[in-house]
Amino acid sequence: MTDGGYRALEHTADLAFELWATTEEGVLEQGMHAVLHTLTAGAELKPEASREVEVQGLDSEDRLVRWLNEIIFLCLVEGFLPCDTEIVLDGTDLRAKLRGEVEAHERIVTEIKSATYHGLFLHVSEAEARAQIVLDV
Amino acid sequence: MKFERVDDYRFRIPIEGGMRVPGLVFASDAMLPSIREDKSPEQVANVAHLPGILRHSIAMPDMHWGYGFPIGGVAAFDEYEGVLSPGGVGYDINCGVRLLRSKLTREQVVGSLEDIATALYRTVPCGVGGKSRVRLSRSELDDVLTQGASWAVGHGMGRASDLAVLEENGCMQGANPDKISERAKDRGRPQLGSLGSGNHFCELGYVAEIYDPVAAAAFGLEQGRVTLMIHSGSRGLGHQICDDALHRMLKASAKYGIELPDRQLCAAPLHSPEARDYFAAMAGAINFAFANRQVMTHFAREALADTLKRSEASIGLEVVYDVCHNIAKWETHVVEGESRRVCVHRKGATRAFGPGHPDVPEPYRQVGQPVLVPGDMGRYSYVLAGTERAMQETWGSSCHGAGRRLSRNQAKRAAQGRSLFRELRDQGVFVMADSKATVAEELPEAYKDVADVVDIMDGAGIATKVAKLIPMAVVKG
Repeated sequence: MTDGGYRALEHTADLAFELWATTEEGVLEQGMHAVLHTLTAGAELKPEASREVEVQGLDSEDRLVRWLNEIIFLCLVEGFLPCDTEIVLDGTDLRAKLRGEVEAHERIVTEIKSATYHGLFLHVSEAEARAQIVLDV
Repeated sequence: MKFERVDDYRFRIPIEGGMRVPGLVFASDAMLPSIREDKSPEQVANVAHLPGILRHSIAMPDMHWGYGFPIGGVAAFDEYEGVLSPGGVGYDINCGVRLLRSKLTREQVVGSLEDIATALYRTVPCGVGGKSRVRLSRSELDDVLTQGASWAVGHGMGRASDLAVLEENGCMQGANPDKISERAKDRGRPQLGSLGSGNHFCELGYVAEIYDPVAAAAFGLEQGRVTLMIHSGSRGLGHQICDDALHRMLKASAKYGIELPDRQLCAAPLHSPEARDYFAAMAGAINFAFANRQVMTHFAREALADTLKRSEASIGLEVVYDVCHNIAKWETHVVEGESRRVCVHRKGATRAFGPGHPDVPEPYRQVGQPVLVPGDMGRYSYVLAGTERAMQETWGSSCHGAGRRLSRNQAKRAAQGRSLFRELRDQGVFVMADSKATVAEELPEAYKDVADVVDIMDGAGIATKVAKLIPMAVVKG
């Protein structure tokens, strides 16, 4: 668990989140938590099983979108709902170990179509990393 | 963003920076301040940057902030210089509306609305996940992707006569299941014949007012008759196809040197391999959505027959029309006096072909294509007819709905402490929903008044008012 957080922003049609942490890995983790919060309305999830995922991005922002879409796919199709992750970044690639609940489709109360490139930004400095992501719901 | 008033219904966004054409926004003076509140006008300008765009970047009066294109956006592209953009279609490919008319009168159902709402809720799968009773093998899914609504009719879910009055007759040519990822197929396979969540619905209503008796007669709409409207799309299959395409189109945009004001507008030249592949996948999603609405039509017919203890034949429920809201299509339009093949993107907009067009079903050809414009669940919806003016000005396109006014969070806050189900019931609307939160997000005042939207289309001569429908029983996801 890294430090950092996320908060919902107003958006007419859909859901937007601001994400922040001390590192880019932390922002990616906070993005995962924002997605899970949206899907489950903040349900508490247990780390029953683990999964590994890999994502290749065109750049850091693209990688953030693809990472969140990977999470959305795992949740909606496979019913694997992660609550914890360890992320390793290498160039524009990402490898992550996820821990979460399996066969947990029934915990999902809101559908997300996709994480989008709309209004997307990811800024990383020595002191902090900050991003904005919009989810199409 | 600068708006130049053209007339009572039209505003022009002049060319600035890299815009290749001006923007054309259909709106009223009263509506313009709310349109300026979000960034949809900037999105109209962004679309105008795309290569090969013809004439205008257009926005309908229900416009609001979308992804890449605004919701309510329409743009046509030159066949040889233009592009295909998944952002011009959206995530819910062929999200659309189907309207059915019954032989029943309002008086015949008004005492059974709660039972009807309950039956529709039980019979038409809805809500998150929303798995259908239809079980598809992999090869059957491929058949759905290429055959569209006719697959469902061929499997006993519908009538052959249904197909004659669907846009594209319910089957878009050019679909290729091999161009659709296994992920997309995995997301879609359990969902054929399900509403989904969000703003999708199945709604029993009645014809409350007729504005154009000739067109209404052609559409089979009589005052007081019961109608059924189904709003849904291509479910997870379409979402994943869009997502897959965006990844590829981002690379393609760089490859072909297309400068993007917004990454969500990523695109490829219309005859490039990337665009051809996306078109083949998109057409598959379009067909899935046509089949989806066809299967739900079958479920709804069953539900009404069971509830009212009447035969399906005596109830009627014939399809009036089925329109796509999110689509890109090859169409022939007159450009600078010449008949040319162009690729029209409609993102939260409805085709509105005028009288005489060969693509308008024969029974409606004298009066123009039916344009179905759902409003919110508490007020009303409209049926319009396409016009020749739409052919000349908007690539035969019109508005698609009311357009959101409040964000989902604002709507939830507005719903706090209220019993929305009771409020709506007091208005004569029985609502069944998978989630109270969805009903809160979709509360009537979260949307613009659709009457204001269609009045602009009617006043501008783009689509003329035919009938008003009032909801009585609504199933939400």
